[in-house]
Formats: sequence, structure tokens, C-alpha cells
Amino acid sequence: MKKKKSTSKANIVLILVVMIFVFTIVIINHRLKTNHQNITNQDIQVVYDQMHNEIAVNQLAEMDESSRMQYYVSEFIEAIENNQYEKAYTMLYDDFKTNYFPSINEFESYCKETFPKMFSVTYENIERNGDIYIMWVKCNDALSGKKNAAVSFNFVVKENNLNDFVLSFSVK
Amino acid sequence: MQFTDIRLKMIRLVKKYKKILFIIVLVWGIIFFVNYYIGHRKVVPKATTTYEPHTSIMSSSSSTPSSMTSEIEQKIHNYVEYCKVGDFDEAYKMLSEECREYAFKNNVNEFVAYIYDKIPSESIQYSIQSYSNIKVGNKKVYIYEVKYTPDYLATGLTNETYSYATEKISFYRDDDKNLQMIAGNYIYHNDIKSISENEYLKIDVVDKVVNYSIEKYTVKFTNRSNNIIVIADGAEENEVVLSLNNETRKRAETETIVLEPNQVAEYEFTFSKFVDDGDIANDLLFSSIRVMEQYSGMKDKQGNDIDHETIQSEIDNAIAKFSMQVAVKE
Repeated sequence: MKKKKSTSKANIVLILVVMIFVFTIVIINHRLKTNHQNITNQDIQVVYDQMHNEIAVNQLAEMDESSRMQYYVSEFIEAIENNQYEKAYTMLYDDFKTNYFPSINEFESYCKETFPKMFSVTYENIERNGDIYIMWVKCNDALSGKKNAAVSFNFVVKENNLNDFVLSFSVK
Repeated sequence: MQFTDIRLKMIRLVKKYKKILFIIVLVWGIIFFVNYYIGHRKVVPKATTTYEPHTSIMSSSSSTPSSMTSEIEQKIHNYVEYCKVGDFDEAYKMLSEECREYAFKNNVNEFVAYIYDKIPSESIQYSIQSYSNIKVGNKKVYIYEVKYTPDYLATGLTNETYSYATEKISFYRDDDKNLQMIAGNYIYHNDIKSISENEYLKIDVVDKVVNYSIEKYTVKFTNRSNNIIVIADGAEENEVVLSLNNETRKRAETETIVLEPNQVAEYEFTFSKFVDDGDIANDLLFSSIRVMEQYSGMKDKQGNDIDHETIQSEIDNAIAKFSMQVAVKE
């Protein structure tokens, strides 16, 4: 009688294990299906941006302060070189935008007038002021190659977090 | 062998070794959990920075106790905010009584004149840096440098050159454990009351006021003679110096100190000395005191220089020439 009872318990356990196994397989299958359905370009862009940001954050974590500030300024300059004015505009500090470029159109036309189409950058000096960094930067016109075509700018950068920053620059 | 037999064997096996099996399952569960935790733990990379506002730059091994840092930050913040909006009375009230008396002569207008140069507008930004920590009596004083700048992030330094103003703001806990704040580069005051005297002259060092980079002594002279006594008129080298452990410092003032017969007069002497330089002020040394038979001064009534021969002859004929030293060591 006792033997029969323990055998039936074992049967119940076995049935439960099989059910859990089948249930798990069904869920995994369902998730795999849904993961690959309805993926839009926007979703891909979001994932790409997230990955890009993650890589940048990891790279920046290895850098010292000075290198990180140079990275941020170069991100801004690269955006201007690539005519991504909206991207560059979002990097600017709000009060600076209010003071000098209330609209993106003004910023875009200023960049087109002031910055060369392609330029190399020399970082001449950096000063820290609490959590603000002031940089002295020389922009050289890479196409003309003329030494006297270089324009000096001050960049002021505030790092909120890794790859999270705002900046401003001396308007010429 | 039938399926039932296998099952029975397994059940027997489980029953026989249930304790061991339980431990194996438990260990496996722990390993599984730890592995899952490490695998899914999000390590947020942090930006490395050399900016450590509460670590003294004079001695990197010395920091402000963490129990005080947030209170200090809050006090500096409130002080600057009051000044930015022009509520100077409130900012002034934040300072210790001693600071108000010795740094600003109990006059809020003196404070306004001082701070307005540094914080002239609401847009001024500031940053703090622990500078050094010193002991004054039984109190530990935490000295901070506060740097004031225009809002460079808002201007990008457009049409400006990089510049800033600074002041030393210090903190200490008083006997009631209240955090006292002292500004205006002032650090402390000491009633020295040290005297040196002889038949001609009594020198009484009344007190000293220590700022971050200077020490200012108030000295009372009593001319006990019926003759003119010259303390300092530039005729001799190093007429008044502050003697430290390893060197002497000249006074900053250039005014002549000449006492009329029986005159009592008070003068201030300022010496450059950083409060955290590790050196100690030992004595005030008056090295060329002259009791004059005749004294024409260094310039005549028309403002022309008296000739060197006359000056030398009067010094040579002085009734007495001596030096006096007054201890000022705390």
C-alpha cells in the first residue's frame, strides 16, 4: 500500500517536470518569434544608438578628464563638419543658445560662415573650474593649408556624466 | 528492466542520499544565482576626475571630515547666493562674530565693499577647493578657496578673457560644536599682550590679526624719555622685522615711526606670511631704535631729502641706540 503511494507521487512529479519543460519551450519559442516580428528601422536606429553610446561610455571611462573633454569637443566639431547641425545644436548649453543662437537656423548659418568645410583641431590648453572645463582650441583649415587661416576658439564644457555633456564656445 | 523498476530504484536512491542531494542542489542553486547576478549586474562606468573639493591641495593626505562636507557646501552655497542677489546683510550674518569684528570692523558696508568686487552680479558662478587645514589653539580650521567666475558656460568666453576672483573661506567647530564660517581671507585673531620695555621706551604688542597670507600686528609705543625716539624712518636697514624660525620678514608699510617726547602712539605692522606655511612667528624685532639729541627727519619742510651727512651725524650723536625684541610666539 505504502509502495503504491510513493510510486504515484513519483508519477505526479514526473508529469510536473514534463509540463514545466514543455511550457518553457513554448515561451522561448514565442519570445523568439515576437523578437523578430515588426522590427522597424527606427527600432534598429535606437538599438544602434544605444550600442554606440554604450561603446562610447566604456571608452570614455578609460580616459582622463582632458582626453574626455577633447572627445566632446571633437564630437561637436565632427557634427558640424558632417553638416549635422541639429546634432551639434543639441550639444549646446541652453543659456548659451538663448544668448547667441535662439534658433537652429541662426546656428546653421553661423557655422557655414565661420567654420571651414574641413578642419583640423589643435588643443592648446585646458583649465578646470569646479565641474566646468575651459579649453583653448585652434581650428585649422585643412583644405587651404594656410597657417594664418587658423581660428582660435574657447570651448567651455560641462560633463554631467560619461558621454552626457553640454558645451559652449566663443562666438566670433 | 521495466520503467517501474527504474523509477523505484531512483526513488530509493533519492531517499537514501537525500541529505547529500539536498546539499548538491543547494550549492548548485547558489552557483546558479551568483552566476546569474554577475551576468546581469549592470556596472555603470564612472567618470574619473581629479577634482576632489574636500581634499586639501596643500597636503593631499588631509581631507575635511565627511561629517562636515555637506554642511560646508551648503553654507558656501547660501553665502554666495545671498551675495548674488544683493542680500548682503544675510551673507554678513552668516560670518562668525570674530570675523565680522576683525575682518570687517563690525561694519556691513566694509563687507559689501569687499564682496561686491568678487560677486558683482547674479550670474557669477563659483567652485570650491579645500586649500589647507591648520590648528589654531585647540580648534582645527578648514580653509577653502572659493573661485568666482562669470558664467562662462552661458557665454563661451565670447568677447571675454578668462579671469576669476578668489577668497579664502574657512570653517571650524566652536566649543558648542556649531560650524563657524569666516570669510574675507581672515583666519583668526590673538590678543598677544606681550611687552618689552626699558628706561626710554615701552613696546606693547596689543594683538595680531592673521589673514591667509598676512599677519597684522597692533603695537603701542610709549616714549618714556624727553627726547624724540625714532623707531623706523628708513635710515637703517631692517628697522622692523618679524622673526620666524628660519628667516625674517620685512614690514609692508613704509611710513616713518617717530615718537615725540613722552608720546604714546599705536601703529599697525603688516608682514607677509602664509598661515599654512608651517613656519612660526617668534618675535617682533625693532633693530635700530634711536633716542635722538637732535632729529631733522629724512626730509625738510619743502619735501627735499636731508643730506646723508646730517642724518649720519645725528645718528652718531644719538643719546642711545638699541634694539628691542617682543615675543609674539603663540
